[in-house]
Amino acid sequence: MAPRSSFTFNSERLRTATRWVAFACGALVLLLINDGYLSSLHRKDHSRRVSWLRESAPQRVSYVLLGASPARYGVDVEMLAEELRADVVDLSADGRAYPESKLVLELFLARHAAETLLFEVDTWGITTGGYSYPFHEYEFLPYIRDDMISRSVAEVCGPWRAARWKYLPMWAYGEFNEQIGVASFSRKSLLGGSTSEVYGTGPEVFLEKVLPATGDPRFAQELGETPGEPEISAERQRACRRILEVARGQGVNIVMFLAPAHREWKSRFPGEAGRVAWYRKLACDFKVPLLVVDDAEGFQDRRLYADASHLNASGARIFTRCLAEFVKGMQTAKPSDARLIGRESRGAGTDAGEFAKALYD
Amino acid sequence: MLFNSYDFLIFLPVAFGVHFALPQRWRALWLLACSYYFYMCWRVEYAALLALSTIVDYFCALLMANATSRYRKRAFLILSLTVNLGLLFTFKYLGFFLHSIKTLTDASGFSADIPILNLLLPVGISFYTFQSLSYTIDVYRGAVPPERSLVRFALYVSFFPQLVAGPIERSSHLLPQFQNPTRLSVNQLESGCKLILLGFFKKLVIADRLALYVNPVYAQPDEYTGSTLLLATYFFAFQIYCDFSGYSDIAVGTAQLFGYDLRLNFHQPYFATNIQDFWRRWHVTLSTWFRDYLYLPLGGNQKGTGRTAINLMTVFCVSGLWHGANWTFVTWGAIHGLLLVGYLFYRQAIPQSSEARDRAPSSAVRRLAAGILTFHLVLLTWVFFRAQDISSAVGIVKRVLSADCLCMPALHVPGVSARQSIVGIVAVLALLAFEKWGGVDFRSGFNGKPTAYRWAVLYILMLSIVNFGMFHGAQEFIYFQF
Repeated sequence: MAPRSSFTFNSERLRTATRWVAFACGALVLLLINDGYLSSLHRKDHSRRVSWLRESAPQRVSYVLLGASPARYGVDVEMLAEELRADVVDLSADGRAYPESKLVLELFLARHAAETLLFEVDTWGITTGGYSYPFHEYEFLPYIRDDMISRSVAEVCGPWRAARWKYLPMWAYGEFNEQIGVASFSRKSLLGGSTSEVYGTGPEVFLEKVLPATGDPRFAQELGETPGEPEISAERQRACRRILEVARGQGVNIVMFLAPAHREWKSRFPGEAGRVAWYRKLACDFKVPLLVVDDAEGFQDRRLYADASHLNASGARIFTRCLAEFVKGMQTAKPSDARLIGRESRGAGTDAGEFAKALYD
Repeated sequence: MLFNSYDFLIFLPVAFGVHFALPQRWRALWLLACSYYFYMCWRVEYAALLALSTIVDYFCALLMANATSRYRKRAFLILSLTVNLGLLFTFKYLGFFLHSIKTLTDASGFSADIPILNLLLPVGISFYTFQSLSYTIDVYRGAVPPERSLVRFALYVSFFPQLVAGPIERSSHLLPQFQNPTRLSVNQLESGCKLILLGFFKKLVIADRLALYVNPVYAQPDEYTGSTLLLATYFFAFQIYCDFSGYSDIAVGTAQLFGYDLRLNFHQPYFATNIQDFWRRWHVTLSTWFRDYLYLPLGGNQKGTGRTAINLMTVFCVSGLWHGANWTFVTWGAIHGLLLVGYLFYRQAIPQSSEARDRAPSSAVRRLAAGILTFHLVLLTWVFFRAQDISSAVGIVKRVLSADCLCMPALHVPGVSARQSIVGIVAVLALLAFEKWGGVDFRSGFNGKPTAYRWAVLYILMLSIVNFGMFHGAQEFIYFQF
């Protein structure tokens, strides 16, 4: 009897173990299927910036616009393309700090080619207070297995977090299910329908991104909620430099510009001038032209702003023309031409301001 | 530490692994260390209150057992009651009472210089003081022997799965389990994992999602129509149920992993067919605590109808106050008391036995109607439980009962899309259906179902959590504040 009872005992344990393993395998398979399905949806969905960057057909474009909300709302890309008679890809997005912009540029240049980078620099961009969610890691997580993305995400979010997003199926889609998971897709796309491609070149890139001209109430509200003086972030300064290095490394010309903000807004931050000076020095270091229109009289009319720090449609049109003129002026010279820097420091800002004032008047 | 945090995801396997790797005699000490660490993750200094309550009750119980006279025994009980209720009063109610007195004196024209206290409420103080008190009262009554081991008693008071939000355990149930050696049981492991999974589904998929809708609506009720307020109240009813029963499921499941059995706290409360039935199903461990240590000592239902009604009102007003130092909670308790008194008189007016009622041809319809009525009476009380203050609650009730309630409710409120609301509604309906017919509480007959069904349920829960759980801005469990 003894051997038989021992066999029964072992077989019971074996059955239990088999059941557990089978259940765990089933769970793993389901998670892998779920993960794979969502990844395939992302690959098809070119309305998402990173998907478009990774999946669209390689192309060579003349200009790439990179930056945060001042670029997104302050530059009318359609008009810029017409003014420059060239194709422009708009990679600007709200609330994106330099570490994210750097990764976006790297991804773009890994697949596509560009002649000139129009790089919007923001005086808040090198501070810690500038962006509430500076790195939108979830946008990149569907492609976390890509080395370039994995490295950048690990740099910003830490290696452990990056590792679990990368190696545990459905962890990333679960943690950010509202942003990139099932909930983020429409019923149509879940059932296999395709989504329209909204990133690209030419006129179609202009994505209803103009802020309404709400005028004084919003302006006053923002002035009333002025935050404290922001602190400089060395990490973001480094990331800003890295963007220039990446572009330079790929042989891309660079034009930097500071989008206008209203004087009343800027006057509340005594450190503003110091931050602009940092960008001037950066431009000198890299021998890159920098357009500064901040102090221009033409941009001090409240009617050009959606709020205290963002242009509205009218303001964007004026500033875009300004930017186009500035870029056209650069086209004849090489980026390393020292005269450009001299030209900027002698008063490109003043010229642009007068230009804007004349246009507006 | 929250159950729905990454910290817990690391803490639990470590606590579990070390627990079973250690020899039996060290396991209680290890669990005690884990429990204090768990508590101190919230605030280190307030662990001293937990320790004070533990030490006082441990020695009071021993001294009571050794007391030679009834007078001395009672003195130690009073000492235990004073320390525990004193801590509870100081940290939970003192500020509230001072504020109420100040409001009263200001309103009556006397100007009294009363300080306003804003002490931080120690998490779980209402739960562990009640649990500890039940032990000293039971020892005083001679219902349980005093626990000689300080480690075991400290673990009984602070056992981490149920430390901050219950279930409120009894010494007669939990202490003997700590005295017996624990074995790693596959059945308990499976059952514990299932309950944890169900708890996370309730918390992450339903409660936290519904909270997104409820919070903005109840923060500014004047800005919403009666129908939206009604929908928010429906949502809150399921939010609080899923939040609290989800916590209890995780607590019971976690305890099962370690080989311990905690008492049930919920039994499908929204399927109750009368208010008394509701209280047999809702927060059972608190209801039975009040029954055994307050209602019965007051005389229970043995001293006539009038006295029973007074006892019920007393118990439920105190129960309301237990939930929080705010008049909204007292009102919530008082309304429940009134409903129970009303039900008491109804039962006396129609003394038909439940068996006779069930034999009636219309019993199914009657049960359904009674269930719907009971649910809506409970819903009314939730308005007072959730509202910021009494006047706000009254305003909400008025708007819900007005013609304003006839329009379509808004599924979309600031920060919540209609799709999120619909996901919440679907999840609630699925849970109710599973609870009623699917044995999804993993206790009643679930194991008797076919393997394919059981696995499918578990996989659905897992995939629902992953795809629809709210992982960002993890919300504390509602009952943490009590």
